[in-house]
Amino acid sequence: MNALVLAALLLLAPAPDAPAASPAWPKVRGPFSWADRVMNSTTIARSGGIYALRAKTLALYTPAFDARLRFGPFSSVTPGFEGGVPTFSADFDGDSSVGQLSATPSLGFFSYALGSKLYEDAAALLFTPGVFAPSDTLQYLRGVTAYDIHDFSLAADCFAAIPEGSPYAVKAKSFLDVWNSTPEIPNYKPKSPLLAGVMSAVIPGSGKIYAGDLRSGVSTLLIVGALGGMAAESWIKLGGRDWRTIALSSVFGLFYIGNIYGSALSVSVIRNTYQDAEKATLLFDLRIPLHQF
Amino acid sequence: MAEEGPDPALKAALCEMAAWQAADRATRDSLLLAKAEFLAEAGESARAYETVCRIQRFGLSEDQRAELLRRKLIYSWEAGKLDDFKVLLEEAGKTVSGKPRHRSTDAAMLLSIIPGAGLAYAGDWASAGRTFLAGAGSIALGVGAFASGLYVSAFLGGGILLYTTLPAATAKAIEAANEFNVRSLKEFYTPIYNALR
Repeated sequence: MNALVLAALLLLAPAPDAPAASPAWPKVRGPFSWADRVMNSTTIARSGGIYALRAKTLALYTPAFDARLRFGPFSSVTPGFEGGVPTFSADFDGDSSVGQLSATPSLGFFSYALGSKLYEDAAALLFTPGVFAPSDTLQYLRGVTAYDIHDFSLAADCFAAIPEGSPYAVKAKSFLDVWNSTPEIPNYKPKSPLLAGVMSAVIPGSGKIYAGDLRSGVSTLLIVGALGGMAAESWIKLGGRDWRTIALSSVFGLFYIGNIYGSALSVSVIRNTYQDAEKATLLFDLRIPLHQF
Repeated sequence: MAEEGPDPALKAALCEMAAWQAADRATRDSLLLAKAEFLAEAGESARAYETVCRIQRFGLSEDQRAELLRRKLIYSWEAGKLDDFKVLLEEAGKTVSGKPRHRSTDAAMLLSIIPGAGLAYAGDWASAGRTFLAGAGSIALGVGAFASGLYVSAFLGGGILLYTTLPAATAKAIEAANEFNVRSLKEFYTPIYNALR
């Protein structure tokens, strides 16, 4: 009885807190994408090693802010903001007025703003509808700004809108070629989900270690091993028909099967994570002079 | 100063662009100050603070320096940069009697060996209660399992519980101690911030 309640408590034990912010994880593609979403939605999964591995590359994927969310769609006019000439005054000490400001497109300013990491200012001017007339230059500057804040998805959308024949088309295409590619992962041998599953069936957690997730593998080995030990002891001392043995064995069985499935899944998740990280690295180190307007 | 029309973040960006084009320093400083105000209006105090920090003090009049310092104090407070706030307060020549209440993260970590004690020390009584109940319950269950002759289960079950809960509870206690210190610091300096506004 006590052992059963102990096992129940174990299942209900609070897992480490999930990350406070909820930035989008890199997308997992392929047949396991749905399972990845399910795993991401659970608190327990986030404490696993796969996710710790992902966290290492998270910074590459997390934009400083979501320009689309803040400034809305690209093609509409902001009320009360026509002609690109907003007027307001600014006083330092209440005596002097600096007069009127005008929004004149200036490539020099954007070169300065992006170089000085004033990304929010550049984005506010570029993504707010009505400030500048639509043009290839505007679209390209939007793409570069999105690239600089590491929002590669938004950058790809902006660059994709640049038509062929534009002076920016070659650079935009160079970016899109990398974005749409599936890069090879250096120093990574392809792993078999089947083998990972079989390994975990023999020694719990070993499949995850094989897949490249040592921490999660050891954790699984400890937990599944301990549950197995508890079930075995109950079986020996109380007999196979005792309800406590049945309950403990059921809990162990669930964890055991979950461990096999998780190991097979982790091969795909880790491969995609490495692949996404490699792509982010390639985009990050892009050898294209994007900032030369 | 705020007017109807464009989004404050856009106004701030326009100020930045105009500051870049400004012919003289006074205009540039004015525009940066205006930008900071727009950013504060948009709820982006951290950026507002960074912006006023870009304004150099030399060459400003006494009144302008005082105003700049006041703005820095306000924005650093609103941005939660309390360490900067303290330094700026010293720069302003303000002396504050007493000390804010403080909880040591080391003590919170060590006390976490006793379930809930670290959290209670850090002032998170609700989590402390939950952790204590879970800890006490698991110890009672372990003792019960031991008394029933399930020695291995008592040991393994206790080990798993320890492995899964203790690090999380310790981390939470440290976090709670840090939060307590920030809260305490804010409470301590609130009257000064209110006076600055």
